[in-house]
Amino acid sequence: MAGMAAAWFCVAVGLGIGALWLLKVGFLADTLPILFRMQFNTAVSFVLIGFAVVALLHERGRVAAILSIVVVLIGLVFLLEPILLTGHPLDRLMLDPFRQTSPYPGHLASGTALSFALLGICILVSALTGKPTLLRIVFAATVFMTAAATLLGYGLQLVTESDWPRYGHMSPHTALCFAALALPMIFLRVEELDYDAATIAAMLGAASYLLLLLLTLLDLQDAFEGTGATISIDPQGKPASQAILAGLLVVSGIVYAGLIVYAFRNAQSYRGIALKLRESQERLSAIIDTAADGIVTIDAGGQILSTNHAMETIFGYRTEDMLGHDVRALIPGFLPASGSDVESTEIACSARETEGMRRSGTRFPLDLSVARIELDRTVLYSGIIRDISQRKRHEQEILEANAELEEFAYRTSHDLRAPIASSIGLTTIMRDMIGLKTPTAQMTPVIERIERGLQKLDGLIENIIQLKRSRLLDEPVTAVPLLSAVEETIERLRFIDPARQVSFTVDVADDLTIRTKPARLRMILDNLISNAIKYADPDEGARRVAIDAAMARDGWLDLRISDNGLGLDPGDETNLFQMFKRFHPSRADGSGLGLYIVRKSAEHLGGTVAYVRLDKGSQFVIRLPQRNDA
Amino acid sequence: MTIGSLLIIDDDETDLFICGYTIQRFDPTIKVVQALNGREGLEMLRREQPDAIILDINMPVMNGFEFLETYARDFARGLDGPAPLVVMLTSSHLGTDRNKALQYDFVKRYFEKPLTSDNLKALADIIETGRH
Repeated sequence: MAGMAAAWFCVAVGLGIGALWLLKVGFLADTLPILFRMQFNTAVSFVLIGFAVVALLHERGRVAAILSIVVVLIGLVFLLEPILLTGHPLDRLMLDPFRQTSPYPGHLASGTALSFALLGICILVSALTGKPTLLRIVFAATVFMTAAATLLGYGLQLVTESDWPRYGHMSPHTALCFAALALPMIFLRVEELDYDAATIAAMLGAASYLLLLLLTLLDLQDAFEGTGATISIDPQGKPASQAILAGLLVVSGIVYAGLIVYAFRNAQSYRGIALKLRESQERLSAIIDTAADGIVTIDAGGQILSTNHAMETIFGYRTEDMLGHDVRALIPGFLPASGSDVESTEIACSARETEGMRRSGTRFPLDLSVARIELDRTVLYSGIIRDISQRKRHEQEILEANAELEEFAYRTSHDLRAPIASSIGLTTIMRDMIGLKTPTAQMTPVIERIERGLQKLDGLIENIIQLKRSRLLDEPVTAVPLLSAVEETIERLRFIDPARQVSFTVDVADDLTIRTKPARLRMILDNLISNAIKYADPDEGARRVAIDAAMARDGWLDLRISDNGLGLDPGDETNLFQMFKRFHPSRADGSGLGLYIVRKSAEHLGGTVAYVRLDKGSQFVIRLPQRNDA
Repeated sequence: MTIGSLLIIDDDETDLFICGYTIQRFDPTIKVVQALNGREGLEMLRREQPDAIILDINMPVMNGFEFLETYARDFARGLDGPAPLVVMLTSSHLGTDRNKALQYDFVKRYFEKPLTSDNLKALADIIETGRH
């Protein structure tokens, strides 16, 4: 807008002065000779250059270029005239001056010619490149300073008739036009070059002032040495140099006082701002560093710019080891892999689950929320990272426990009811038999069935109580001599099934003790040894159960219980330690909970249980830590 | 005569005894075939053509639902004559089990243990209507 106004202003001035020259307005030339100090060719050049700027601002690059080339040529011809040729016809080409208004009619002042050439080049460069360049700013600034110094000079009555540097001074309205044109050439889209417009304006002001000082100094030197022309305007008849000095002093004083006040105010407000900034920064960093979540900022390429204390805790690296490295080493899914066509705006997200990599190399789940931070010149991302491995573990545990509980409820509701339903059926039959006067000998087996059913129910309830106990029992860890624990169990179980006598071999050193929870160890031994008895092979001549235990090299206890019983069909191992899995329903009455109790108890003691298929029979291996201080 | 023969699939020996006794008291002419689990039941079906199958749910090796799945695929269609209908006999009184079983159109009733003569009467009626 301002550029357009300046351009049209120049066109108007050029046309106006040109018209005055063409119309040969004699009385104006007599009363206001200064108007005609702008030569006709200068006026024409202003019209040309004004249109060039208008074309440039309308993005008509070619028109602007052609017009500016003409102006550059005019400027160069007059500028180089003293060197190249004298008396060329250009001064009289356009118009024969009807009145002599300057010492060099038809000639452009050197400053004017130089300014036209420089401004023309500015427009040409702009039209060709289409963007701001340093050259344009420097040239335009030179023109502005020349024009501003000239205007200031007029204001301070510094204008002399001196022939500096040759062919006289530019007129005030010429200077005004140049100043007006130079400003858009300096500031047009200057921010694209990362220059601060205010700084440029300040530098421009300072440079113009210095130039004025320099010109004054030169003028004064001339005056004192008496070699130059005398100063023309001197109304009070005082020595001209005194007036100049006084003017300069006032200007300098005003400028100096203004600068001091400005600097003082600036320093004061700067100190206040700096203080507030530091406070807010300290507050912010205190919040960030005490946050339980990891906070990281990265640049668009993924390089880590800052981290907080929680990041060290989560990932195990020190801050200085993380800075400057690619964030994908910590969180591979933070940014899309380089080369993928994911839009950078899609990186920002409210919260998503991804994986992190600790220094130790272990992967863990985390919640990541990413914010996109758009700065003036660049884009950053900040990420907030929450380690959710513990939460995930708990979730998993709860899900598993819940599934197990549901299965348990389902199966117990069935298994508890089944023997009762059978007993009801059998008592109905008994009543029927009594009504039919059936002989007692035929009724006895029915009563035995009722008895077996109730015993089975009792066994199931006993197992459920055991299971409950294995979950909830809070018993202390004590030293348990293993040999006596095994022998006690065998003694207790030896006669549970008199029909199936088995022989036991025990190979456990009598000084072998482990620190563990005795009731749970007994549960394991009970279930495994009674299984070995219950599922002995009735067709086997010599039914054997072997129990041996020893400390392994890694400090764990290996307890093996082997038999030559029925064993398992291939494929049954997978569900062996699950709840309510039964594999020999026709051979013995089991609740389906025994091996499940074994597994749960072993896990509670920090150990494991495994099944080993033997050529004939089964082997169960219990591994327990020698010390269980859980 | 309404029921010619029945296949009972149940892993519990006592329940088989109760079924056998109850059926014998209901109608001594009914031929009873027994299987201890689903797989044995399917093998039995290759040799026998009972009028109906009495099926338990919770069994080792192949449970009642697994049996129903295979039965629906391999037996319920494409045999000579109508396929044997199925009635459930179980100690599970869960609604989900009942609904799951009754999804099959050849499963006609869902009885809870123990088997009674009323159950058998109902079964005889179903077989009777099926023949007309």
